[in-house]
Amino acid sequence: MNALVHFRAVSKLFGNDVAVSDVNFEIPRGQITALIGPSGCGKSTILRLIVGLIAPDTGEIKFDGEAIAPGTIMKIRRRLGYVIQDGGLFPHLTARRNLALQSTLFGKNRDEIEKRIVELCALTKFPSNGLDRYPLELSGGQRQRVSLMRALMLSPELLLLDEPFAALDPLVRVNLQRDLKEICAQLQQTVLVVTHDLPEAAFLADDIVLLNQGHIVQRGSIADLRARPTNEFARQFINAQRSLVTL
Amino acid sequence: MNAGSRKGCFQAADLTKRRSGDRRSLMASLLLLATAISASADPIIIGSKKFTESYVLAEIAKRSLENAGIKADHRQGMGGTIILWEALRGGGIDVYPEYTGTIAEEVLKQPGVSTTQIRNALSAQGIGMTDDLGFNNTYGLVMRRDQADRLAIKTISDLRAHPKLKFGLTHEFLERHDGWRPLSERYQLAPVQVLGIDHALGYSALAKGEIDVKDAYSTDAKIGDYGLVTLIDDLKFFPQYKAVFLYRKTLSPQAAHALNNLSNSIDESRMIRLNSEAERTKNYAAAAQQFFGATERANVFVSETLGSKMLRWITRHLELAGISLLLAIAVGLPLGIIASRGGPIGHTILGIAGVIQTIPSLALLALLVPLPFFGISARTAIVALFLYGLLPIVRNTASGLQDIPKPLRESAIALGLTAGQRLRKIFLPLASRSILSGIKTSAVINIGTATLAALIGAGGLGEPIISGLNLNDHVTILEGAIPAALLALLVQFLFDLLDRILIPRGLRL
Repeated sequence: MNALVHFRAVSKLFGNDVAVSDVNFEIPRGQITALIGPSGCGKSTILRLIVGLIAPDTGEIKFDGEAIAPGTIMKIRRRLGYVIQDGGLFPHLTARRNLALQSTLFGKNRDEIEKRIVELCALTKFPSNGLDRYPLELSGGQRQRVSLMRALMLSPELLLLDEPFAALDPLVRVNLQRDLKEICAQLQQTVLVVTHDLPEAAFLADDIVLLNQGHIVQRGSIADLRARPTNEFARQFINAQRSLVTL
Repeated sequence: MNAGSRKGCFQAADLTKRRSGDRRSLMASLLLLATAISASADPIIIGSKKFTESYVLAEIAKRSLENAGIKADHRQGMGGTIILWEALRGGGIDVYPEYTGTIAEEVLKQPGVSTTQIRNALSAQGIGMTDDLGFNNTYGLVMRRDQADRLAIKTISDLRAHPKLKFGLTHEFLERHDGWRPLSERYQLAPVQVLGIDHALGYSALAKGEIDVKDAYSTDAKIGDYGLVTLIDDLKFFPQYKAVFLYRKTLSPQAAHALNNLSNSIDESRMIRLNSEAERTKNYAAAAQQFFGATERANVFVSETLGSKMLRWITRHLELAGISLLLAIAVGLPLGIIASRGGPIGHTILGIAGVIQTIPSLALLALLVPLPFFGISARTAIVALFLYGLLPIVRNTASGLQDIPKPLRESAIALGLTAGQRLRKIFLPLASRSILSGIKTSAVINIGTATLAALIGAGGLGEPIISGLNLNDHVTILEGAIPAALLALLVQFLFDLLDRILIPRGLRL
């Protein structure tokens, strides 16, 4: 099966700083791919390039065979789901209206939308009595569940998660990681998740892409990365993760 | 008073007597006459400056036009010579009382020209001038009589020996070409202290001893009332200020005739009495009434009750402030949205809106009056208020939008919403609190500033304020000031309510 997204020789500078440099990679369908690396390594930039929040200086990105460009981005965005660290929910809308916003504007009818919301509540284990609360009335974990639901509303082909659990406390985070993995398996969802947390990447994805200073250093399963780090940076990054077992 | 003017007066009195004989049928025939004469029923608009004599003369003109069966309206107490002159030239008003000296110095800028030269110069601009009304209201400097006697000051030259006397002069006199600067040069006066002060307030300051010398019109009633003395203009500095009516040549011959009939009918002592009557009764129309004789006192002029005046002022005030606010919202919101994107255009918009705010409101009015489409009208006042209302709305809209956190901005983009959808559904609601508080600021500013609209004859609660200021009558001032303050409070309260309705609950948590 061919990949959903292709990066070909993509470079992006912010001023004189390299964000990503000559990146070539693809996102296979139906699986979770994790982008990992230290902060500033370019992992978020890759997500933002796909969403079209920024444009590459050189190179080409294709989504399902179609180049991401000003003329195509609006259509492509509707085939993506995007979740950011603190959810990005709109504070002036209730959870329900945050969920319905996009579908309503795209002309879906009310019943269809309601049905989808009920489905997603069950899927994400979100209590339906929370739907009429405003984001500020929800806990951090609940906000992320709503945010995930909002991203899944239109059954996107690609789910993009940018440090989705970084701001949550450990217990909530573990629950959400587990639920997310389940949901994605159930939906056979194509996912690209950005994280700086190696255990999280290892738990969610079999396919880990390690980045440093805008370059892809290594790609493979956690076992590959541990057994055969390709350079000194990869070895250090992987060994920097302390496990409770070694303490 | 010369024989001619006395004759004219007697004739007028005779006419009024006859008229009161059979009032009812006369009113009917007057009505018929009026409709016959002015097929276009537009009333003649008479303007006046904001001092007693100008109000009284305008009322006299109004009454004599009405007596000739011509409808007339009086726009009271407009901002100053330049505003009235431009309004007359532009057709905003048809008639106003003026003084020959002022015309020569301020309008034509040709000091010392003869009456004939003035008449010809005005005629070339489509403006007619009546013969003089019979008195010379020149400028003069006045002092308290006891102080002048004690210091032995009789002439303006005598002031030279007393540089410590405090001068309180009107702003107009300070700036005039025939005013303070050339006067002080001619007389070599160099007083230590010269203050700018309103005309009516200056009189009470003088009476209380807060100032010692002030400029006055020679027919001011207060000169007698406060026991003041006019210093002799021993160097003959002040030109003649003979009162005349200026009128547009497009006026009907009947109307021009009615105005010309007033020439040589008021001498100085009579004018002083009329001014004094106006200030005593606080009623200009009543003073004009006195000019036409007591017989008519009971009819025709029905003094408006305070309630109906108040209603008229408040309605007009709300009209001025409301329409200008709606315009400011309609224009300010889009400008704010554009400005929120920054860049040279955004900076320019905010810069221009800021500069407008710094123009003093009276100056802005005076700048707008001479422009085409404006003139002396509510329209001008609304435009000025609209311009003042812009900045708070533009600035708050721009900053409200700029303050939206980047993650929310990007989430809206990532959802695939179009720019218009993002703005309507996300960004404007998120900025609603800031936008609404900008609108509230504008509304409160507009309610306050709308009092200045009266200076260009646009009415509103400024009417009693300005007329009270002129009469130094606190009650009249409060008739305007209290409702204006209450309106501002009411607006504030309404906006607080609106806050709860318009700002999404999720933003108020």
